[in-house]
Amino acid sequence: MSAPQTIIPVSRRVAVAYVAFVALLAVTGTMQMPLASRYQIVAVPGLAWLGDFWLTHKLHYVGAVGLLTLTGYLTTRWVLEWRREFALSGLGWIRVGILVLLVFTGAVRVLKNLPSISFSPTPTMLVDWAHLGLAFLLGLVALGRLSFKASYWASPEASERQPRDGAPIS
Amino acid sequence: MSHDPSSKVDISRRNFLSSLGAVGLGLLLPGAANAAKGRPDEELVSLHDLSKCVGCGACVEACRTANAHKFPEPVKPFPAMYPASVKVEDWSGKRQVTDRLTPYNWLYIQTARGQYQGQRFEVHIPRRCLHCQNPPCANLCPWGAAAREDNGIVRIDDKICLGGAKCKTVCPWEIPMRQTGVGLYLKLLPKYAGNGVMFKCDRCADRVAAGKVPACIEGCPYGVQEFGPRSEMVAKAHALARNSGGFIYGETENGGTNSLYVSPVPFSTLDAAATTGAGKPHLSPVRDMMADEDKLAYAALFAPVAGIVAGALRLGSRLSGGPKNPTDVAPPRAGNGGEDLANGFGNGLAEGPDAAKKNGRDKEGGR
Ligand code: SF4
Ligand code: SF4
Ligand code: SF4
Repeated sequence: MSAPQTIIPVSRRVAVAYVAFVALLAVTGTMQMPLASRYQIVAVPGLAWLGDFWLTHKLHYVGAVGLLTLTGYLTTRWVLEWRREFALSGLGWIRVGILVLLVFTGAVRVLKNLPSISFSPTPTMLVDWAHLGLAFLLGLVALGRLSFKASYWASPEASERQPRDGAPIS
Repeated sequence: MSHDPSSKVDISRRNFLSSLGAVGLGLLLPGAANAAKGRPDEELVSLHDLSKCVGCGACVEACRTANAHKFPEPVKPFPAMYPASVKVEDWSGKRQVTDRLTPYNWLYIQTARGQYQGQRFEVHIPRRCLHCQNPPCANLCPWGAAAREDNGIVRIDDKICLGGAKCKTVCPWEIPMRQTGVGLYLKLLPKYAGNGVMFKCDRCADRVAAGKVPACIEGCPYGVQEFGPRSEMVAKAHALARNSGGFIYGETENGGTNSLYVSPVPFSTLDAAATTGAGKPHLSPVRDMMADEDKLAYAALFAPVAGIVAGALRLGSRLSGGPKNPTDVAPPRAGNGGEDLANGFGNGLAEGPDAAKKNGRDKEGGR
């Protein structure tokens, strides 16, 4: 084939679902900070709900349930079916790493919010800060990928032709 | 082998979940899971017998004295805040106020007067943070500044709090009070984020840690409050209410708090008779604010499992003659939308970057 190809295994709908869940999580997560009323976002028609801490908090949980289901599904399929043909690029692995840490720190928060579990204040605070920083990092990675037209997937052709260390093809 | 009944293992849900948290996180966060410390994991509860309270205010004075070293000393002039609609909250010139909650007054006496069953009543209610068992102020703090400790004390860390006042918004009684001009926000972006520090009763955490009782309890000449493990205090509250024909507030409010009030007059009557509003909390029933989150937490726990099962089933159906691997079936061209989510997500999307650009599809998550 002459044209450069990046073949990926996920369907368009799955990609859209991923973007939708991440966007929901990003918006509702950001709104956990008391920004909406301070910066008059609530005054924008249709955005008043962003100032409702309880609503955005529950929606953040709903988004997490969606993303976790999708993650479980895609991870399973990748491991069982796609691993060989659709290797992840370095950037792809970075994204996976960030997502894993986001899920972990989020899970700590969810556990802590159960009535029966207490964690010490300092680790709780560090987990909160990590979750916030990781979400920011995920956004940066997505932006970087768009601006440099990079890919989360290693091109099958490239991986066949090029040695792993990236030395020029002789 | 002899069996010591005092060491019997209580496998209640509480302990089970605590252990789950301890095992899962103890390794990664040393000291994180207090359940691992081997301390008795019963929360401490204060029980108020309101029939004994004369409203003398000695507890209020005791609180102000014992906690004076924790009160804010704001830096003035306050930094300008953006947008201009953001209001300064300054109580530093009104430290003497004792008839409501302020950053300098964490306890006040609410008084309700009226008629009940043809009798005149006057009931005084020492009001402060109730130390909820599942406190929204701590659970929804986005910055980790508010936290519940394993002994049930809910505290706001004055070195970390940015004063966004979300804890006050989500507290069913709007207890935490803000003082502008102190705290971490001054060192970050004082113009754009934060507005001071939130203050409330910390149940004299320093005294309790040293094995003493809170100052308000010690300072009361009439022995209105008792302090002890939850099960014991709940039993006492019920006995007191039963023997006096009284009513209980705080046991089930917001899913349960670690402050119990027993009154000879129903709390709905007290609530109607007392002055409530800013810094003067109500006495109405409160549903468990975190109940939906508790349910969603279990959904989140099972979500990855559901995803994994769906992924495995998908492989199963493919091996038994269902749709093949995406590269086998999906031609590398635009317009192949892949399969329906409900169909199992899996058909291929395979396009060149040019096609992606044309179709505006080059979105996060696609590749
Ligand atoms: S009463 Fe309000 S401030 Fe106190 S623990 Fe409950 S939610 Fe937090
Ligand atoms: S427990 Fe301590 S901080 Fe809380 S009201 Fe009583 S004296 Fe004040
Ligand atoms: S609780 Fe005790 S010290 Fe406080 S007002 Fe009532 S009687 Fe006085």
